[in-house]
Amino acid sequence: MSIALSITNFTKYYGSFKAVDDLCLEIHEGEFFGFLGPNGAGKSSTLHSITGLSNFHHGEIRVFGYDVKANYKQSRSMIGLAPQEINFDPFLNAEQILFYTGGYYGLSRKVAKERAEELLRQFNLLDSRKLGYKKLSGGMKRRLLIARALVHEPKILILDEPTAGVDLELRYQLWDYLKKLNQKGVTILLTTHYIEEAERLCGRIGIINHGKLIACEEKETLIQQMNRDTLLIQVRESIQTLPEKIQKYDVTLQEDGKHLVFREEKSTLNDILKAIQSENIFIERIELDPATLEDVFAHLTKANIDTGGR
Amino acid sequence: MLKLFRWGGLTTLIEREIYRFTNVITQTVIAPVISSSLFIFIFGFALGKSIETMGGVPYLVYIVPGLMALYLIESSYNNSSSSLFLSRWSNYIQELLVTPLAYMDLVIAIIVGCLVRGIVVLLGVYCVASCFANIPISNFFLLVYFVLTIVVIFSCIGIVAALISEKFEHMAMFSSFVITPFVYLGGVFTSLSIVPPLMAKITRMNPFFYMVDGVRYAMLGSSDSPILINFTLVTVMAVVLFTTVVWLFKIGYKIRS
Repeated sequence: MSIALSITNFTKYYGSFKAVDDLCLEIHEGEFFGFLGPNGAGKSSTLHSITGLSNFHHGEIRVFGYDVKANYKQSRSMIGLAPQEINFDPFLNAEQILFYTGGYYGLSRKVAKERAEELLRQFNLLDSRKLGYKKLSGGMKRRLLIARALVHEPKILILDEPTAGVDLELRYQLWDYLKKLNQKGVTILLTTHYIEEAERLCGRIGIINHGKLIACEEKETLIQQMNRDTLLIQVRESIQTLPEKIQKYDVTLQEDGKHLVFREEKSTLNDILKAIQSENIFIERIELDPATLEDVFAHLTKANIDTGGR
Repeated sequence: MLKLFRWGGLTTLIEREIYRFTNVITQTVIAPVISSSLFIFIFGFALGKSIETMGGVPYLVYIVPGLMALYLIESSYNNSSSSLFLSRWSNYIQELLVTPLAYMDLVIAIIVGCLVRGIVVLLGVYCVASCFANIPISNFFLLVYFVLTIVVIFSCIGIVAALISEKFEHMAMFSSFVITPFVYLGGVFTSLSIVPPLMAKITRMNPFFYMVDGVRYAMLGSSDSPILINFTLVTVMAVVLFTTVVWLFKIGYKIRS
């Protein structure tokens, strides 16, 4: 399998501020890759440098072997970007936006027209084809952004918060569409703040924080490595203060005094139960929630904050 | 022959630039033609009757090349500055930056858009003026050269203004305090031979004067300044400004973070 995107020692500065620090990353052809991180972590800076929206002076980025600086025409022909911010041409309607974008990528008039028609149909925008983007609803704008990114049939699709602000029904429709697109062989790089979205769609996940890549694994591996499940224990009698034997664990006592929430490694679960029983606390109910990607994300980015992002 | 015009990114962008100004044709073409008609009627036809000749021709005929240069300058500047500034303001520029279009394509498309708009406005002014008098064209090729260089110069100035400006107010300031006074004081309405010596000296320091004077030479066959000086100055200005703008796009000044 060939490498769709290769980032080597990429560092991006804004003045003296280092937004991305020595990032190395490889994404293989056909992957659905999730690129996650808190706000200001360096995700957008990376995406902008891949797509040509940002200049950078340190490191190298290649798209299917083409350097994004030296061979930008080839590399950009292979990328489709659906940005986070709406950035349509204010003078054009939905159909023209797709048609002209096709032209910018060198499609013939006939092909650009056909692609525009096809995408308007696929994204259920045919009835709104003559409307300027300001007259489109939020969901329609999001669909048009993705349609525009696909006009020239890119080999790699970069989605920056593709479902931000859309309703649940449309979100599910877009997820379904993206899954099918990926199954057809399109490599997808997704950044999102909806961790559930990444968990449902992506095979491999990279987490960036303070400009550094702090994790990059298969989704399942990442969750397994987390090894911290959530254990909810409901007790019969209300507890005012946590007994000493329990305090050593990562535990929260809920306001009603009857629910204890532990976030601990699987291996300690037995010890926790023993500790509770030794305090003569009667357990009424136990619930075990396996770790999710969201737990992994929260844990890793929090740990990174605790160490000052080093 | 048609194969010469291969459909590609550049031609699409040129088409989009032309579509943009024709979409607001009242503002971009009809308004300047009407305003030039007023100038022609008031200064040339009504007021001009009291002025016998200027530069050896009727006053109306004398001011037409100046008015053509004036509206060419205004339409080139307005077209490039508003096109690029709106692209930056609406973030639409990003849509172009992620495509395989070269930075040179972006510059050329804006200039060609200005050229088409400028020619349309120019023809409008010429047609209106022709209703009142016979307007000569002494040297057609020289006229084409001056039209081209003026368009390059002012579309590039418009691009620089659009890159520097952060809000619409900055753009308006640049137009009101730099472009308009320089153009109106550039010998559009009077010959240097009839203005006071100090005024003539100041006008000669105004680079816009040489463009107006060059167009006047190409049409009437006579000018206040030697044509070689006009020709050389506009050529140098066009080359310097074009190179500057291409360099600004290459480094991504204010368009790439």
